[in-house]
Amino acid sequence: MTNKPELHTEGSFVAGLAAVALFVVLGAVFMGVSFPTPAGFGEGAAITKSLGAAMFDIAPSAIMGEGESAVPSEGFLVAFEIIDVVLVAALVGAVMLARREDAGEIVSLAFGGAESDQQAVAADGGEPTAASDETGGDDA
Amino acid sequence: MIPAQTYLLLSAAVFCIGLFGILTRRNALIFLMSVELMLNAANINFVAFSLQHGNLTGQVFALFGMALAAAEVAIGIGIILVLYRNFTDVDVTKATTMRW
Repeated sequence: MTNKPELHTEGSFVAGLAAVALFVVLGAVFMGVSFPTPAGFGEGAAITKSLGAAMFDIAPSAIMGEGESAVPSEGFLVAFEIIDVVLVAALVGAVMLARREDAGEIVSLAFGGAESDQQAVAADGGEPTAASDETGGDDA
Repeated sequence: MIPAQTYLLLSAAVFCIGLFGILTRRNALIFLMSVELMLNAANINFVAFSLQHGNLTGQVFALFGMALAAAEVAIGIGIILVLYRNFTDVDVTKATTMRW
């Protein structure tokens, strides 16, 4: 008698039927409409250069070479700077969430007191330790 | 040239795969991957309609979408890390401490 590998599933797939139904509806709608022939970008269009010009909001004609034509777009310099700030904020937020406290205690969300120390698990997958003898691991 | 419906169907398929993952799985990491699939489905639409209209605005917007997805993953991984530290599990149904 042989053992077959089994797919590890978590719960039922009944809720996933909603996703399948949504795909059926979307597919029926998309098949029912007709679009005109795509305009495309034409021969000799410098798409990457035009993307750079759009992102930094500079005139595309200033960076086009011989035989290259610019593709129209809007300027996105302000959006570019906002995304820059958002990415830095996300980076700082991720570090803040992941770091340990000075005394080696973990950042806890819901539990409080000594109970949370018993629940704590080291980020490196080590054994749970009580806060009293914990020295902070990598942070020193 | 490939008609726009093909891209729309691909986008709908990717979106629905992501939705299926969110509705059926309980692992927070798979949740994160499913949300990424849904975001990328939107990006496919942006690029497809950029080609349809011969305008690069959609492609630039797709690039911004990717940057937002990166920021979302950074925060998401941090939240999952804290989830694991507090509940010793990444099962999203286990974190019920704030449920009334």
